[in-house]
Amino acid sequence: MNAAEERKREWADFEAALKRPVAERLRRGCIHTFKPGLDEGPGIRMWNRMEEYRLWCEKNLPRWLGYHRVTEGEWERRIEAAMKGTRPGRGLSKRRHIALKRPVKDYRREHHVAPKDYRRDIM
Amino acid sequence: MYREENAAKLRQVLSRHNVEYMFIGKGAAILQGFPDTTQDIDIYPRKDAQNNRSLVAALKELGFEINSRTEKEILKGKDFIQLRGEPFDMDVVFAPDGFDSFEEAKKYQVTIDGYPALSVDGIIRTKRAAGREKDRASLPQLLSFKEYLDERGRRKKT
Repeated sequence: MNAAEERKREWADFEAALKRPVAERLRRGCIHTFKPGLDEGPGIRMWNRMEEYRLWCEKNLPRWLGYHRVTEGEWERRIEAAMKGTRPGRGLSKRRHIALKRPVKDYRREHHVAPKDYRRDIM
Repeated sequence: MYREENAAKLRQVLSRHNVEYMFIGKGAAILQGFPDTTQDIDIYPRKDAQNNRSLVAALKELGFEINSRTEKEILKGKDFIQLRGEPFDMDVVFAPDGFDSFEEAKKYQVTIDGYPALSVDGIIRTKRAAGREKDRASLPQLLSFKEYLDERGRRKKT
């Protein structure tokens, strides 16, 4: 699928989504998934400053959850690296790469702080 | 777990307690029709003593377990409060990335069926400023959604 076709399909999805009443948007959009680290421990956590919260996330959450900060340059380099792994003719756009490739590649490439159980889950 | 009826209840209770706030993050985008999923709702309340007091009263009414120590901490002023479990998951963000004040964010506020929410433009701004991996991953689709909304607006005008 080329970029124009992908955009057309995406915009058709947007159009359909906008036709849904707000209650339906919320019903479809609010889905619980267990997030290790975040969904464990105390029911209430508080941080005085956003920076403290960001650092807590980077220290306590597995990298694949996506709460670690990354510079724009580093992000671009990751996408390029993921693109190189694509077989010709697969037709995956940059966007699809972000969604489909990055978490697994990142997991394999980097040592993150996920406990063993979670590593087993995503492998 | 967050359900659609929680959003309505949250809106009602916050409104009854005169809490000045807006929905932010992916939840706000979903309210505006963005087809994606989230597991919690993020709200951005104005950070001042009166609003903090109203917020605490509203959270208690909603069923969050706010003990006196937690209440004192919230009233002292926090940037971020994470509520997990019953009655539902919610992040209370007093200082979202990309905005220096509530007044500044208010310029980006839209109201969707009575829900005050940060506009898609504003959400893009916060996600760019936050710069986390999940924010960067969601930006292409949010930008496309923004482009679609702009185009739709232009078509409606003509």
